[in-house]
Amino acid sequence: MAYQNVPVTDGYQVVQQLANFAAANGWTVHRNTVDNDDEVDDAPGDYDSTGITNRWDGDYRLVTVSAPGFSGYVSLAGYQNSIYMNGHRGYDGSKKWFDQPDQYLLYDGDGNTYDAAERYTRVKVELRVNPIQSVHFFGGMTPTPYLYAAIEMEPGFYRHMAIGHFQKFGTALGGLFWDVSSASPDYRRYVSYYEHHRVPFLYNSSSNVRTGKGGFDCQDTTGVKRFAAFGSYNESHLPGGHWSKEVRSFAVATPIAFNSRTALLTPLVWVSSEGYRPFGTPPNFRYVNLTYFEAGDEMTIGGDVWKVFPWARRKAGVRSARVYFPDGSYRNADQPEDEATEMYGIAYLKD
Amino acid sequence: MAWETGTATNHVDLFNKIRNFLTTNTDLVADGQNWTQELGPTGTLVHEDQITLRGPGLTGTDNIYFGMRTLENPGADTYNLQFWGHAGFSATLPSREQPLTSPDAYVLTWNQPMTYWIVGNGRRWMLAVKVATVYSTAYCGFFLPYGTPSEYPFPMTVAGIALNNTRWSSEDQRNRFFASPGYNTFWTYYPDNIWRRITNYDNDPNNYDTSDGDHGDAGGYVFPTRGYDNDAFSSPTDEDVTNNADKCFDGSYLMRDLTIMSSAAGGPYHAMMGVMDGAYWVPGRENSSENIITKDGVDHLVVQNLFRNGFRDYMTLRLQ
Repeated sequence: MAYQNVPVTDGYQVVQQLANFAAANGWTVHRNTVDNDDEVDDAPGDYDSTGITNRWDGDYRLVTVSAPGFSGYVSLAGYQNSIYMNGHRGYDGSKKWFDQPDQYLLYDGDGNTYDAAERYTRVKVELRVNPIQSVHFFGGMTPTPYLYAAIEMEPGFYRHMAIGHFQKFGTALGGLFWDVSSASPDYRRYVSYYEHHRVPFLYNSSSNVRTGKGGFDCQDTTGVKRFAAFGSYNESHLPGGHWSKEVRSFAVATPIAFNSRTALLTPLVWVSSEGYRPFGTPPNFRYVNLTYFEAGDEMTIGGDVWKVFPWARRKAGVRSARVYFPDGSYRNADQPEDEATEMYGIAYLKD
Repeated sequence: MAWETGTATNHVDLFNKIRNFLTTNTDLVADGQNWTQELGPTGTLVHEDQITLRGPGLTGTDNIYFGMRTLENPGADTYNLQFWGHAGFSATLPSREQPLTSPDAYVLTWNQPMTYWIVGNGRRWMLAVKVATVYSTAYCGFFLPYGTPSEYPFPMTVAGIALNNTRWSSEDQRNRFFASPGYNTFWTYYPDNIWRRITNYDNDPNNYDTSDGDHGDAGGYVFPTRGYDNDAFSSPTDEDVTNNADKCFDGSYLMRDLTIMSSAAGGPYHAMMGVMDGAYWVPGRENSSENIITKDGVDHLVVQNLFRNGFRDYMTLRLQ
């Protein structure tokens, strides 16, 4: 396993550095280039619009990676304020990141990704701060390949990206995953509620996130290859993920009151296909309660060192759509500083 | 591989078989994990005998006590086992009057032949017994705590199938297996030396009345057949998940740990207390009692929830 903390200023550099980190740690980088297009949004907010007003006009970083010996590819597009991801079973280096063979993104071939079905399968990391601070990379090839990134937008304020292959339960098709964390961009006024956020592998319909959910390659009960979304809102892919209500039960019960120990929870990813089918677990990734930890702290269990980060911000939310001031005035609780995910955190295996 | 199956001629014979298995099973003896009978007749047991056994743990350093006797009420056609755990012991006190004793647990049986399975090690024993068309089950002894021995010295659970001495055919909603325990059927000894009720259901004999971890008068609940609440987040609930869970794509079953969760709603605090040792929740789809699921080379016995055979009404006992 490997760990690296790299200073970056925007999404472009995150993707560029991810490619470098991946190449140094056993992944195959099929391309790591500069492209220039205007087919996506790149402004915080307004994510349910057609995106015309937020059209990006400039360079972006285009990267495609895969793990040797494992099927599937993930393409990333790094813009100033956004990072997009797409999973695909085939690869065509002459085509855009959103137009790959046998892909997850529901692209209609019109040259942009503004339509609803495209936006809802266009996995997006939204960077609400510019410039950002740094990115913490975690990666390796065992027990299965993985690349994780905790993006520090500003001190204590994070986004997360996850790429890799599940440790599957038994034999099943697929296994490649790609996912991000999101803060309810479609219903911005709820970012102060932890239950309106989502993070990699989580099935959480409360998140009101339609533009920030990742997916994974799997199958249905007939043995046909299918893609699944980490959540329920999708027109054509199977629903799946780790049930968020189980995360809730875990988060309440740890730290363990009688000995003050903090437990870790391995995401258990299900696929809904004529019943809930256990599919797999991501390697070296855990959910954690941060009551006794701050962002970036390390905890040691046996010989393992885990580095922990908040889902977004480690603080209690105002739990209101509005922030009220002493004079009775108010504003909407929708600003970057309003994002709050209480003690919900992610632990990445560092050493 | 300390387990055995066979036929008990009646409830008293089963009483004897449990005692004899725990004290003389050759695998337990070979591993130094056989239990010692501290109180009661050492010969063939009869109705109205009471015994106390002590488990040595895995290394011979623990003292895990439980008592057991049979109950009979011919007029009500009830012939059951009753057992209780205790954290203290006095050789001068009768089995029913030991210190730090748990509330009673019951295994519903009858006075006719019945197939049984008993699994044991030095820390705990588990029982499944087929009575006519229903399956009674029990867990007695230590679970696997989320803590060191100094933090949680006596992580004991006593769990039967019923809240009182009733006929095996009872369909009281509170009578349930320990994978999703009913009211007053499951007791856990906390680090503050108090036995507390663990339940997934409220105290309602007639209705399917679930008890989430965020309310009620229980110390906690058993996960994943129950969860803390159904308010925060939006995803399938504990009932949804266990009702819809199915096999993996290759036809194998994922068996899930049974975790005892303490809740401050009815208990002293929130905590993951520990995991049942060798017992797992398993989906009921394409499944039935007495199926054997092999995992990592070890057989697991599928057992249903008393008379129930719904999708969420199965667990496995590791036959090892």
